[in-house]
Amino acid sequence: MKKEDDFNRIVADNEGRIKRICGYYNSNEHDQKDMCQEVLINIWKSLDNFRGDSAMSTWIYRIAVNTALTYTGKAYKHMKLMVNADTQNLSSVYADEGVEDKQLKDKQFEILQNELNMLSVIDKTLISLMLEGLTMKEIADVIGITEPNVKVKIHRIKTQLQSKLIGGRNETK
Amino acid sequence: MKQNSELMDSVNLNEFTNRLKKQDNRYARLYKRERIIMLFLLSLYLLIMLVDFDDKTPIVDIIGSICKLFGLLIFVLLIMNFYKDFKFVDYSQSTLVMLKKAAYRYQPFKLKALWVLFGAFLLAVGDYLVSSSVRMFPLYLGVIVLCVIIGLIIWWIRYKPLFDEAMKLICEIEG
Repeated sequence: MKKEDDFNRIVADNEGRIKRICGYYNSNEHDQKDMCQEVLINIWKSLDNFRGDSAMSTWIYRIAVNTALTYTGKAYKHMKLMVNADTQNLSSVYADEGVEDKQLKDKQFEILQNELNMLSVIDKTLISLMLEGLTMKEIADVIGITEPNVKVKIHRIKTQLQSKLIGGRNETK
Repeated sequence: MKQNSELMDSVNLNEFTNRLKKQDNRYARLYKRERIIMLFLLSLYLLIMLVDFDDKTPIVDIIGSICKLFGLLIFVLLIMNFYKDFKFVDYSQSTLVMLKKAAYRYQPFKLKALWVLFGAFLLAVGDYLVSSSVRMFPLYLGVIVLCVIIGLIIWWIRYKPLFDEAMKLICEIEG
């Protein structure tokens, strides 16, 4: 019963994280549910290997991200990164956080969503982890690269996104 | 515990964990059964060998049979090893490590596959020592070549796309 209890506890504690990651990569509810099941299966399979070397949340993110990348039901080359206007930490990728004009905000969000979908698979993964509020060190731990490397990559993605957003804003004006 | 949460409701966690446990047990049983069958066949061969041998059995025949036994043992161990590689994928490793392991799993030729040649060589040598004939050599060689060709076709169709994608993602992460 111990494994089952541990599994139930982990899923209950990390349900939000799992759901959000699945939500980033799937636009419809059915696909989200399928991917959630796949993540749960992989949590179950990996549970015996958890030694507590990293935080439980990092461990969960690793499984969720790795499942998303290898998700069999999806042609992940065309994998989309779905965000909502109320996605937490979304403001960190906007060029100007203080935009008040609703029309301008909506336009920026539309451009952002399009640009996010044009990112490479790994860049989408990095952004999804950033939107989750993970620190650079935690992202490095999930992906398996150094912290400075993560910083460089995220800075590059943000610069790229922000230049598109500024371009879009100028067009709207 | 948030038993009534949405995710749990949609997945039905209790039923789900039961299914997972059943699956685990099924795999464990299957793996155990396979090992038992292979070890049984090897033991059977060893037994036949021992029954066949007497004081007059030439030493060359004994060495030949031992070579064959080790050849078969290598095949059994390789099959078990490859099975393990594919069955137990750990998703809790970092993405880069997981991708590198996937690329290794899906590469067409592995260094440890050279053991296949060594196993086949032992079988051929064993056969030669027992029968003093090399007539089986072309057969062994033919079987190996045929297996390599079939394996490469399967790899090209099923695993090459996975291998290529894994390599692309590795380059992207490391680049």
